[in-house]
Amino acid sequence: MAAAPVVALAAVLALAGCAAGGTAGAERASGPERASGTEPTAGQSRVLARAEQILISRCMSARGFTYAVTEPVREEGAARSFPYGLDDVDWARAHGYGGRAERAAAEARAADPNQLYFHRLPARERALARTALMGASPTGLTATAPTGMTLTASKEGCIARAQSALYGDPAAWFRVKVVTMNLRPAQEERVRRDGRYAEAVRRWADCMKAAGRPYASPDDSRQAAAALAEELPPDRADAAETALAVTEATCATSTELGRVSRALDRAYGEEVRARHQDDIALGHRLQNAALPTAERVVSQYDRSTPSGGSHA
Amino acid sequence: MRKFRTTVLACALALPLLAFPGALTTAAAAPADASGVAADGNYWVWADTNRGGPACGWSGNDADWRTCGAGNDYNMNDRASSWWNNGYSGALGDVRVYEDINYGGASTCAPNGSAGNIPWEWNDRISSHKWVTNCGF
Repeated sequence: MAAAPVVALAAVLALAGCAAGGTAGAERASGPERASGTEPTAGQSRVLARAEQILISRCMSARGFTYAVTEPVREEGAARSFPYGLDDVDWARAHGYGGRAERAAAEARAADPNQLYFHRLPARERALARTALMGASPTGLTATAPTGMTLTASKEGCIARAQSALYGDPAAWFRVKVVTMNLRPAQEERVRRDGRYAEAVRRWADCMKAAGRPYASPDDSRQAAAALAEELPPDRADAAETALAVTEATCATSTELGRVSRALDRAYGEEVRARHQDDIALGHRLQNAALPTAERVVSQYDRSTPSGGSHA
Repeated sequence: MRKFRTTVLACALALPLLAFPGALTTAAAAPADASGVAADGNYWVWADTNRGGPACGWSGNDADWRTCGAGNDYNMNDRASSWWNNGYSGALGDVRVYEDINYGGASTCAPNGSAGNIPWEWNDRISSHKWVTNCGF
């Protein structure tokens, strides 16, 4: 825990430098004012997420609890979502509707070392651990998501503390996080409500009907595919699911459901991002300013734990 | 919001859930006090605002809120009015909720540790949820 105030100070200094747009310390030679608006790369985002987990873990252990630094679950090639219907025939052939990847993620959560540790604690300790992690009550921070949902969270606890150490202003970061993580749900909902999507779905349904799969929408066929898992033994369920997935994707390609929904997704993506551009830009600035601290936290951690820590 | 005929992935998802029988809480044992009783690492939803009324808590995913999960028959489908994600987990600590059973329709995401009353556009509409990382897969 001794390192946390230092880290927090560094983050505050970085932010101060950023806000003033002036010269920060030598460590910020890359300059937040130059990098500030740029979206962090996938690698940089991973460093930031990992640093946050390391800081949470340190904070929790200073409070007498265990919190393992785990890695996000990654399913090679299988982790793709098709919110408007499957439209990739090769993918459908290989993964069906992605049920296997879905089950793997659910199992990974059940096997998560933090979950296992938490559930083994006596009830009283569990309450204390939860409070140490996320504060006594989820109030203090407020943000409204682009989907219309209003969320609150505590300013106390190790999650908030780790985020403050990295990003400085907990209220701003909470808002940025809530807004950016809900851009895609907001964008997908706009596509589904568009008349051009509905029309493309109607033509897709005609194709499905002709192929002997009379489903009115991709939601319905997905529902039917999931029901197969209940009705058939596993091997036959997988084969039946894949056959339906391939038909769905073939119809999405031949009727242009895929093309139409991709075009709408692009257009509404731009619209939603434009509407929230201030928070998106603020998020990038906060992330870029936090990067030097995050890199230091991660490399320090990796030096002290040669195995790289606990990977779920 | 829309009702579907059949239940889904429940079989596959119930399996990991069974690993923590202690974590599966019944609607009757609804935590009235947000600060203590619900310290179970679950994603909680309540039928009333301000975390009141009948409740469902899940340690895993649930594709169909017509039952709360293994052992709890309360029907939370299209009823939830407030919620709290008090998961104790780094990976897969955020929650994505969906309008339809089997993760269909409109959706919205809530980070680990957050809570809220559900606004009118979303009130009594949510039907399934899954744990995600940063609202991803």
